[in-house]
Amino acid sequence: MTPSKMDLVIAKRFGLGIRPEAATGERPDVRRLISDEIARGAHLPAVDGLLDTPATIDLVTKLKRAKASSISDMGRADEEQNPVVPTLAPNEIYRREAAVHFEAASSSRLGFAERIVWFWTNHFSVATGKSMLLKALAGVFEREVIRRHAFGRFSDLLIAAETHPAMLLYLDNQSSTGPASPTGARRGAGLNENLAREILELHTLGVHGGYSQSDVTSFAKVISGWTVGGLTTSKKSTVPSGFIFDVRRHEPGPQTILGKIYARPGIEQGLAILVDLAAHRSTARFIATKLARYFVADHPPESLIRELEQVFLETGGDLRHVYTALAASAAAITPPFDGIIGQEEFVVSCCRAFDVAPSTPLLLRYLMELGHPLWNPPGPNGFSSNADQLATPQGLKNRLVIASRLARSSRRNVRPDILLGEVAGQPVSDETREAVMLAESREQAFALIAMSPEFQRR
Amino acid sequence: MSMLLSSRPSRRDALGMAGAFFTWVHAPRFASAAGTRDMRLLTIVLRGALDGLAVVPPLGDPFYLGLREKIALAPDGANAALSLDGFFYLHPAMTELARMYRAGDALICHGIATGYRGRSHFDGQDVLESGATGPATVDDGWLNRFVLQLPRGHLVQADQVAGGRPLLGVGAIPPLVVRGQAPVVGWMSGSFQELPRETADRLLALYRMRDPEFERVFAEGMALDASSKGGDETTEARPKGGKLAERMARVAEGAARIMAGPAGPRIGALAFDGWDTHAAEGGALGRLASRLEGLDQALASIETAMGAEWKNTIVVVVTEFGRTAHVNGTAGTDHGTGTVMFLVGGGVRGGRVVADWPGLKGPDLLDGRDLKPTLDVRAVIKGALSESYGISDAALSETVFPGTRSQKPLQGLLKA
Repeated sequence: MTPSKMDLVIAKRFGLGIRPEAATGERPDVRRLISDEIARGAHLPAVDGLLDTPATIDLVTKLKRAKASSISDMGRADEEQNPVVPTLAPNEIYRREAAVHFEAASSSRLGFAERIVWFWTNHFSVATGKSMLLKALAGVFEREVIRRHAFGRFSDLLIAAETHPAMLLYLDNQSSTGPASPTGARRGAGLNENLAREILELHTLGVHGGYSQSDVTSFAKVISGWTVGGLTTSKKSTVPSGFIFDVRRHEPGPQTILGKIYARPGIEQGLAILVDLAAHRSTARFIATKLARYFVADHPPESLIRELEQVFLETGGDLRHVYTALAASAAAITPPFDGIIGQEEFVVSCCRAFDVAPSTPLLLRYLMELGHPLWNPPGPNGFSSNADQLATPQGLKNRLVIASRLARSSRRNVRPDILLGEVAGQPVSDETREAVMLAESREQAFALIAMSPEFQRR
Repeated sequence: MSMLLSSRPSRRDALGMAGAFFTWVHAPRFASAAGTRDMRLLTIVLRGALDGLAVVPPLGDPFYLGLREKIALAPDGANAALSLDGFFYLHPAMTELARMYRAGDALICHGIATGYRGRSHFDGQDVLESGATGPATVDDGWLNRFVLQLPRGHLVQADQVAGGRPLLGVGAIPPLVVRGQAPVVGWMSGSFQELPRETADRLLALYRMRDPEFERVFAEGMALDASSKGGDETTEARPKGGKLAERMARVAEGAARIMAGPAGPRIGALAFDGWDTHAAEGGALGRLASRLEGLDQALASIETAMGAEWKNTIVVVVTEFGRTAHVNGTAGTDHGTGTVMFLVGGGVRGGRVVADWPGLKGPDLLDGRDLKPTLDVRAVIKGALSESYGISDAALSETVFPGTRSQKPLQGLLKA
């Protein structure tokens, strides 16, 4: 393959398309762009109007308190209706966070770092549909957990994710109570195994990673008491907002997980397990497989998976090394190109190619129409990136409608065949070039480019 | 001469080819066993907890007026509620449903709920659609599990190898109730943007040359689109009511058209949002009333679109739970428990309200606030499925609605 063909494939598989400004004159060195983005990571400059996790929790709790006190005046309807208690704040937080998220993706040079962020947000899924609080927290979760650690060690990323209020709430750990804990013994309240199970099944070892039901239960006991402060609407509470370790709910005593006894006190017990899970062979395998599927192919070659697994284990889970190995692997540029770019990639890549910047509500709407509402997957296993889930009758039809709308608002004054050459993920076929050149308008040409196999496939 | 120009298909050609594929994929196989009526079963999930006491107000209950105050409905005067049986009335926005009721095509259940007693929309909908005994138990829906229980060779049963899809899921993501192992075909109303036909044709031609998988998939999408419009876009009847009602009616109409076709999926589900009326709910007019008008128009559109198949149609209308009997401080209602459920269709033995009325007196309210449920949604659905598809009690109580052995299916829900 010629260097320029390699670049096309890599830019499609690992990025969001090269931004038009960057594509002036010399073709940019795609591999260089990738290594730059790996080195720089995915931190965002500080943005006004964004709250940290404790402040977000406080805001939503305050709203609940206000609403509760207005409802408690039940009994007589007023002569005029009471003003509606605003519940818009969580929605507004969501919108602002989404705006920042889209802006980062839109303005990046290649978009590899952003796709890494999307990968991990999807891996450590939380869903905004669960509650107003989750709607408000999903964005800050991505910023404070994923962006901060996606270019560091996996163990740090894992610990940050599993101790974040969004995850504890989404997977129902906040009221999980050890049966022999003080609260458990008194109230008979019990364990919730959801978070423990999903950590093993979805976040680390994988469903065939070699754990048993008793490991799940034991692990659930270890993380009982891992909960969230600042949720109560009672004004008397002095509990800080954020992760708290409630020792009264924590199951005391040593637990055995995967054949090893964990006997440290308090929160250390759980942290020790997470560290061991992060270093486990099955975890290396699971993460390697997911990365290979997300970026390279739905059925990636075994050699690639093994290579990434090795790097993961040898570097102690240093993710930058894994990404470097991934982008440099032979498999990265090897056919077949029968995968398909994901929903968010499609929308953002079109916006970058056409140089359009739709409003945040419109972008959110497009993602919703494509069945990929931002930060709201149908389950904790996130959105699928498989071609057979994405290339559906409804899916392709919706993509065409969105591509047409985006094309219509583009002011880019570039010849369609040149644009096609810039954004294709493989050498352009004669048939596609001809279809684009014979389009009856620039809009139609742009839409055909976006829907062409050269744009859609990776 | 460019291959593209000379081989550019007309839209009719594209649809014809796609239509043929679609037909092959969905060709019904004729049942050998009993239960050979060609039923259509459409489930409408109302998300947000529908206020059953507002939709079917029990004006005959002496405590109704005191609880509902400024949003109460009245049996007479302007915007009067519509009498069903002199005790239960119907919200005045639902004139079509009232007509169907009088014609014996609508059965109304009141004081009904699932087994779920929490008040979380998320978990309540999960329980409603999964058919499980608790939330986050299973991740497929009871409609999907039901299809898998049908005997091989049944009209509805798909041969997965041939790519048949017996279930229609409406929406960007199909509702949970219809998701699972049995394959689902997805469709969405094109109300957010029309498909640009010209471009679609050219795209199909390009796919034909360059990408057989995209060609197959895209052609099916265009065929579904055409099928949902009945092929003649100029004579679509305009439903009455505002934009919201029109949108809801169009979604329902499209789904019904797809299901009514001789080769269409026989089982489907769609969802309507927006029933969570915590504030400014309104009485005979207002927020809820507008949405009820939309639901009403949707039901009428289904009836029209089903045409001759209406006599074998059952539409199940459900919601995750009800709302408080009292009005709250913002002229709305909060999450409750007991609510209503409808079975609508030519196949339904309607014209009655099924209820074991618990009453609205203070001590009779659940937790002092909610309409007490005395019927279970699952018992009604089990009855409907068992009567119309001849499916066994064991299958219904263990697989479709696990853990419901002790719940007897309601009998006599359908016309003979």
